[in-house]
Amino acid sequence: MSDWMKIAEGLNAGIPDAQIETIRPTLDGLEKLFRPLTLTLKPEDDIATPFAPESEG
Amino acid sequence: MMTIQQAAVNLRARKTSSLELTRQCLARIDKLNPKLNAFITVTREAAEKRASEMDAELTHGIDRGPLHGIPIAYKDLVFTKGVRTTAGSKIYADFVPDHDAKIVEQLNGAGVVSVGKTGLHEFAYGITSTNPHYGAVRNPWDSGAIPGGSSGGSGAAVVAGMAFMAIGTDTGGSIRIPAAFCGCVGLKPTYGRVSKEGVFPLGFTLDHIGPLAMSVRDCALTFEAISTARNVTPGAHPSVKGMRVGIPENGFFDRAWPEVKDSVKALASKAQALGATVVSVRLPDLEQLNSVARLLLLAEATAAHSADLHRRDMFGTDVLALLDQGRLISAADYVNAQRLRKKMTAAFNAVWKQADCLIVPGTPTAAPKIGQNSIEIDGIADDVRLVTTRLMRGINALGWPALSLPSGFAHNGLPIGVQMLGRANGEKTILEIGAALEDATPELRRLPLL
Repeated sequence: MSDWMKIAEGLNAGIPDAQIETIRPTLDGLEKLFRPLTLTLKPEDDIATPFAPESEG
Repeated sequence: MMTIQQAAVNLRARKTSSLELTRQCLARIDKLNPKLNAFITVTREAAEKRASEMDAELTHGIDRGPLHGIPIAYKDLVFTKGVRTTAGSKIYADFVPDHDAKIVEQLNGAGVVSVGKTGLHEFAYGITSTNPHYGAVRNPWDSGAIPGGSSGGSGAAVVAGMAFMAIGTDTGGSIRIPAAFCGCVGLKPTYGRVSKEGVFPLGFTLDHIGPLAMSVRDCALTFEAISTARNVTPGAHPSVKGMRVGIPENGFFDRAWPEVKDSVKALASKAQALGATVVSVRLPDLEQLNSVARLLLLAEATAAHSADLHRRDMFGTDVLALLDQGRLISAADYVNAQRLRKKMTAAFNAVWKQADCLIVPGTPTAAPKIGQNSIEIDGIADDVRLVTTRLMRGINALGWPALSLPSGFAHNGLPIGVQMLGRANGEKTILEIGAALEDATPELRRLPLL
């Protein structure tokens, strides 16, 4: 699992330590589900929301 | 309470007037808003003036269509020119937009009368509508229960007769959850089919705008007014003959109250009796899809509110916790989530070779109590937010249209609902079967005693 405390410190996010402890279980749970999925991606897998240069400015 | 369609007939037969309908809604607000807290702002004078104008137009032969003169409401996330738009937030407590959202322009063009702005979860980021700044919105069936969210005020307002229709937004179930918990119909259209212009964002690639109303046809009429869709409103005799109605074998029925599961099967049987073919289908893993959708939302919502994140005391505890989670999501994970979303959408879309629509549970339970953090299913307690969004969140990532339809009542007397899911741009199909089932089950359409 990621060390959320260190990530927050590295980002200088200003999130209190107690808050990190509160949100840690939720983030750990999400990471446990999500991380293995990323291993299934191939380089050619594109994103779902491509940039559209014809969009109105 | 009349439906929009019934009111429209009465308006044209001069049996009522827009002003009369509007005053009826305002009287319901006067009576019930102190109890339900469904509205943050009521625009009484503007509504009465607008209703009189709409009546004058009808008198002079100007007819803008089925929504002409109909009293409605907007979730307070939708920009309304000259009318305070709080987003349920302390930060925007005094924000008065200088322009209307696109959907407000469209609905004004269709002749609606807005009676005000409905309450919501702070920044639409939650499912309870228990708002730390504007108070808890309450469920019309049980004032101790949540109405669902984030469009809780819209659901409560419609069911309590305070408006014939209320606009909501749905990023992970926020139209469908209050529709299920309050006992009305809610339509989340296909992603991108209704303009988000002038609506506070939550999840840029997940946000949907749509109506909550007391009938499928009323939702369909509204959908036509706020999109380019035409001829999707079911007629007097909707047909499901030959329609393939899919019931997923996996994912959607694993963890839900028995009465919710039974109600889906009862409606599927009803569809079969009406001539549809019910087919069993298998879907890709819903939990995996949900994890992708959750990650996308965490990152997008934090991006949307990045300018205010240093003002920690301006946010409620639950919303701040979600925004903090979003700050810790890496850019690479966000991009990978969008890549996974594309792959998963293709995999889920394969189901449309076997079925024309899917019928699945909406919320796995009826409405929890205000302040309740966990809820039991099959003897196991789980987080209310995760349970309530589990069968809905992923649909936002797929962009499919979804119709929430009342399907009965739980053991505690509170409403429950099902979802009709369709392929992208397949609103006509789910509205058609929704109307057919609605017509065939009048016993399911009850109103709370208020």
